[in-house]
Amino acid sequence: VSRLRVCAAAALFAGLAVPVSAEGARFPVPGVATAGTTRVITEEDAGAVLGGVQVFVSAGLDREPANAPGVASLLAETILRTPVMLDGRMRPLREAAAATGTLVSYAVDGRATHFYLEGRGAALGRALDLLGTALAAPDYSPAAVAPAAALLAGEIADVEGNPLSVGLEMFKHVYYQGAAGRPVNGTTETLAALTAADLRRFHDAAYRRGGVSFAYAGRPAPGLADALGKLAGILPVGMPPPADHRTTPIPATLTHVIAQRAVGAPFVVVGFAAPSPTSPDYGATLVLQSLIERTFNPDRTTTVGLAQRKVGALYLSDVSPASMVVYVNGIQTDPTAGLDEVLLLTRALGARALPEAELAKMRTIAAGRFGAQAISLGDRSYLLGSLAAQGLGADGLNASLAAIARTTPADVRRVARTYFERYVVSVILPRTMPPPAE
Amino acid sequence: VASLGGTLAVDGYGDSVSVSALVPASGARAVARAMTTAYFAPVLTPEGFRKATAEVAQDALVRSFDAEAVVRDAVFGALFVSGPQRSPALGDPAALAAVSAELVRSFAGRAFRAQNAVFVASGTVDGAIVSAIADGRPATGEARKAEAPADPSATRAPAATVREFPESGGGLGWVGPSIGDERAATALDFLADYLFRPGTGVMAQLPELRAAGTFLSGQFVTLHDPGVFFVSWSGDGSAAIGTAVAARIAAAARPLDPAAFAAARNGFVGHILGDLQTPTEQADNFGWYSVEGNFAYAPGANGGAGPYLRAVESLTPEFVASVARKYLGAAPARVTLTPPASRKGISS
Repeated sequence: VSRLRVCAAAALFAGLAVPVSAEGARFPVPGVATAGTTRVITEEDAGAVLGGVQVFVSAGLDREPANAPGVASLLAETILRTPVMLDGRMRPLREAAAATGTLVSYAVDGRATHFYLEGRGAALGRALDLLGTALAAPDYSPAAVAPAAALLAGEIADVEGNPLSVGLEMFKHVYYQGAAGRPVNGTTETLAALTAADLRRFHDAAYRRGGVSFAYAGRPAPGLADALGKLAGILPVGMPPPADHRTTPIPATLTHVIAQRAVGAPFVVVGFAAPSPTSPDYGATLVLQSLIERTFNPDRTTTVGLAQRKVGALYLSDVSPASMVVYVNGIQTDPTAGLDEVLLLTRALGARALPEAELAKMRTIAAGRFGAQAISLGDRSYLLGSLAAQGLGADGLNASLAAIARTTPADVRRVARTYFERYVVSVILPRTMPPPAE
Repeated sequence: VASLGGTLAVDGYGDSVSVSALVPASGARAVARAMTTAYFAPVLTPEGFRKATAEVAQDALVRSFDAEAVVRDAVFGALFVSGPQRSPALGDPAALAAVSAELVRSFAGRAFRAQNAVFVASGTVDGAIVSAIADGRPATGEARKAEAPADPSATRAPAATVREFPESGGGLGWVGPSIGDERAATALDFLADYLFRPGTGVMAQLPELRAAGTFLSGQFVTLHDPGVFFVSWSGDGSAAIGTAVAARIAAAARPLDPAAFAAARNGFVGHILGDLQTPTEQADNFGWYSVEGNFAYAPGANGGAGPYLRAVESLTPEFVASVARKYLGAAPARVTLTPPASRKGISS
């Protein structure tokens, strides 16, 4: 409803709740089924009006060939523009799904391309059929590929104007050796160089039945199992190519990367290696993430977004191995002093254990923050599927809460020492500022 | 709220203030109690006033760089001659500096009372949460009743407005039906979604919108009486975008092809339901429609079977076109955003 984008509520006090607490499992326990040979994780909610299904294909950045950066994104966008038949008329998949009342979108991350469909009952099943048609035979003609490339080129330009995105890419470029270290859409030049043959080769290699999984959240949908079973069988048998998870060890000596962009103020992004969700260090990592943000943003009454925080911390588990970045926002604080304070804090956390009472508060905050990431059907289904793919099992949401709940002061100290003593500092300067002398 | 890992937001509008919190279910009762205690009988301290002034000033500054907000304020200022929608809720940063603690204290005593509030709880909570709501300040005399709504906003002949802004841009605005005219209001919601929804709207396909930093937004804002349909845009290619918007709005006076209409209406229902799935979205939505005087009409009321969705089902191409002719056929309020002279390469 359009008015919600403007403004929303009124003289209203909304005590709202997400189903999470710091102690013990609070998310509903999902079910696990199979569609053909493909795993389906399902969290049904009879109170929901819609259902959302994620179709994960192991065609993420970690499987992109070295000579075709951006091919995963361009292929996914092309699939959404592939004509399919609906009501006797051929139209692009995205438009056809919308005509059934179903939203279809996609995202490419470090380990997968995931297509998301959200809709009601039978329409959702119908849209899954349409997606299957396009997945099986994408339209590689210029009519589909050229506008897809134009759209992605616009997104690249948007990323270049966002200092946090630029800093993230700079860190990933240093840390990840494979395609996970490259921009998700490639660059303007590499995108322009991609051909239909590149798309076809990547599709033939990576869009394999053995690399597909599903996660569903929302209203029980009659016929969903059949629709997923049909979709599971649409891609050729086989496994995708091996993923490239190579990284460059972060040296003990300071690594600085500096770039200039059309941004309003300096921005600093500090990148660290981080444990995966299956590591015993996972819970402490989530607690540390909350602790850093809480420490540096204590004085605002209301919650502010990423762009308004003085310091923010992001745990990047959508890529393997995981990593963490802490950014210092030069619009909100002095970036040099902010960087010093961040490093002082991480050293202090490694030097001595947090008092248990303080840690208990941080566990509660970390659990609440984690729960707030899994509220919409899209986020819930993504996390269910993504955490399962990372080895946390079908009940990854509750497993994450449990990991937070059992975090001890010694865990926090160990994680700070293990991961936070080596880092890469990326500095993004406005074009109007001279780069620092070497 | 922060100690539970939750989020807290405060938003001011022409005729209301919303305070919304998102917290784990285990903390919902305590938060409901704390919020109603704090807001039904606010205590203003010098430190609290200082902090609030600084935060609101920062919010106002950020908002002054938001093209959509700048256009919206200008459109509403051009359409309304009086009433709560006439002035921007946040004001400009300089004006905020003139607000005294005494003025805030006086306003709080009059407006921040339990009798003036709507409490909405959504998500994993049950009805028993209402027992956690504080009574607030004891009510005496006139304070026993909810304050009467502001007079209906009076409109005037729309004017052209020019605002200085870092980028080129513009906007158009028309008065629309009241929240009581449910079918017509829903028709304009549908039209805004069909034309302007990011990603799927027909106008979202404009080539000019591919340029970095360019945006186009259009919506119908449902209000007590009247509502407002407004469109805003900014960035490179603004002139072409403005021309395309005007042409599309004019074309809306003709009925859509029935097949295209059916598809667009299906998509619209999906968008409405998709926009109302989180506790925050639901609470904001129900609160808004309550304050504007027609809670029953709130999208999502009664799940997927309330009056709003029935109104959507009743729409026809001919009816939507007739509503477009009636409201969008009138001369709009026009807003132009123009960069400072130095940005345009003009020396002074």
